[in-house]
Amino acid sequence: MNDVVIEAKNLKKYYKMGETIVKALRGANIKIKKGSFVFIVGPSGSGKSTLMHLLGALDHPTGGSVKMDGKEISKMDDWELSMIRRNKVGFIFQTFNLVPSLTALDNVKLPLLTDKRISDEELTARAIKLLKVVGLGHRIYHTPNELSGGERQRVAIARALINNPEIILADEPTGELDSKTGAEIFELMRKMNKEEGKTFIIVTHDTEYIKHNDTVYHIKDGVIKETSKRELEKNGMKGKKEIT
Amino acid sequence: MLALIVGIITIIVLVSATLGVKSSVSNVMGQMKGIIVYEHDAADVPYSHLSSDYEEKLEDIRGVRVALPEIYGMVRTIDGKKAEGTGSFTAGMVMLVGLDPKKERMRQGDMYGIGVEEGRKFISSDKYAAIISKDIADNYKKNIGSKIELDDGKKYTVIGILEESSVLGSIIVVPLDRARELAHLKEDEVNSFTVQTKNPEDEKRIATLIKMKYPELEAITASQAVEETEDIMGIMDLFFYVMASISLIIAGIGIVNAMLMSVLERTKEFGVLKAVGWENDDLLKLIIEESILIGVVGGIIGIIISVAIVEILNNYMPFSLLITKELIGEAFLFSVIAGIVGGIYPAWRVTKIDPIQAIRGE
Ligand SMILES: Nc1ncnc2c1ncn2[C@@H]1O[C@H](COP(=O)(O)OP(=O)(O)OP(=O)(O)O)[C@@H](O)[C@H]1O
Ligand SMILES: [Mg+2]
Repeated sequence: MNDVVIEAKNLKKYYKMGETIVKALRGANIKIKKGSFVFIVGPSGSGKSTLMHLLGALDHPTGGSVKMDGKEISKMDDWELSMIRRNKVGFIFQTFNLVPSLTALDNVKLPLLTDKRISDEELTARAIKLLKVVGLGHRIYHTPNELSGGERQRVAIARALINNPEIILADEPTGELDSKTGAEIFELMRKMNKEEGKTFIIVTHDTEYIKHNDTVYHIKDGVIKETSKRELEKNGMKGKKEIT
Repeated sequence: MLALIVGIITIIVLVSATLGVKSSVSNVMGQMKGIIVYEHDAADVPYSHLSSDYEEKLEDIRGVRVALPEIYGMVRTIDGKKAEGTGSFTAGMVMLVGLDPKKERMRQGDMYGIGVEEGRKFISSDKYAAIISKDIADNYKKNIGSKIELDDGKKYTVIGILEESSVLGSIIVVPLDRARELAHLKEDEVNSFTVQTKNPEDEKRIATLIKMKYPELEAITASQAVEETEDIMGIMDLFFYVMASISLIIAGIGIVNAMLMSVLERTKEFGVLKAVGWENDDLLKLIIEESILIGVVGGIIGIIISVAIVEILNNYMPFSLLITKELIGEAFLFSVIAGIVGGIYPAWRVTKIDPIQAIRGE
């Protein structure tokens, strides 16, 4: 029990669309162990991003429970959720969500900008270091629209790491990258996982980055099933194509 | 921002105008001496008609030193042409004043506190003599000894030119009999009397006495008159403050609107800030700070522009608009408050942004 960082039970998320109700999650269960490197796969629209938002304390579920370090977060108020987002988790959004008017450096600093525990010099130094780690040391003063899609993705990755989070939720972190850079990013994430014991939950379409002994969860019809790379391959799911 | 700047300018210019008028009017009024006596039922001094008999009656009252008869009217033509005056208070008209030459040397102080700058006051022998205001002398090119022709076709010799006055405007003073004719008053009729007492402390008491003895008369001391004008000024003040408040409200709405627009434009950005862990308090602070900044900058710009406008206006106005330190301080404070108040609603809106909506929305 002690080594479980996130546990979701019977998780439901329904969206009301006028008369119809979209049931994105209909009772999903997942248990993420501390220090694990976990993949989530599933067809487009299967609820991967929805799940990530709930696990990352960004949204309230319609039903069920999400526990982080044994504490129920599904019923926390906005302030408690923002504290979790600021201190515990790093989120790499599918759509990057950088602030267009700010430089790469300021975007990376953003999560801790109002945190009084860290001085601006320290924060800037840390942000520059992270930008170098993701290979953007030469682009720190560029604004998002002066960066390529892949470079933006790397800014988003650096931003997710600025608060030195225990848990990193990455929603298609390599979607905009070529396979070489994508592999580099995965290498970096695996290194952080191994050396610093950070927990990674990664949504991806690219099975090439998944290793045979990685934990893989397959989300379909609003529920989660544990699977493996071998099983995915057996069902003919390879490369970037839809995983069904 | 523009609404705020315009609001601040309106406030400063309006209030400085009131302050300016007030200070020049009470300056002049403060120098008047005596009791003004006029018809009780008349709306104001120029509409009052009194028999000259009161001159003696008033002087019979104990403590009264002198009763000076006065006639007020309008000069219609000067040198055969339509009379044109300057000065906003008289709205381009030229005021006619009649005084009794035989009694003027009894007057203590100057009429309305305005002295004769050049020439002299009336003496008993003056008949077709005139004392004119400075602007008339300038505009009609009159010097001491010049002739000036009035409505009656008669030529008056200029014997005196008054000091420049910001309040009285254009005025021609002639002997009482002449004024009576020019103003078409009946024989032995005047408009009012200025009663001066032997002892200045007696003014109030004697004014009351006059009213008691002659209920058909109204008698107010100069200091009461000042108070009365100050009452009117008070109403003017109120009016200007109402105007100023309205412009402030408009300024406030302007800020709310501007902030709301800029906030809604950045909904996604604020959503991102929330998504990466910013608290609502952080966002509130951010928005309020921004709107205070608008208030401060708008206030400073508004104050600078107002000072410039007042400087320019002062070259053209008969009275000075008065900008005080307090006024600038108040205007600045107003501006900052408008900024804070204007930021509250937009800030509240920001706290209601759902990070998920912002994250998902493209
Ligand atoms: N705000 C919303 N209102 C209505 N329906 C929504 C909303 N957000 C998501 N959905 C629906 O919920 C389902 C799951 O969406 P989600 O974004 O989680 O899918 P996903 O697995 O991340 O897809 P993708 O691989 O394309 O990113 C989809 O059918 C989507 O249309
Ligand atoms: Mg998604």
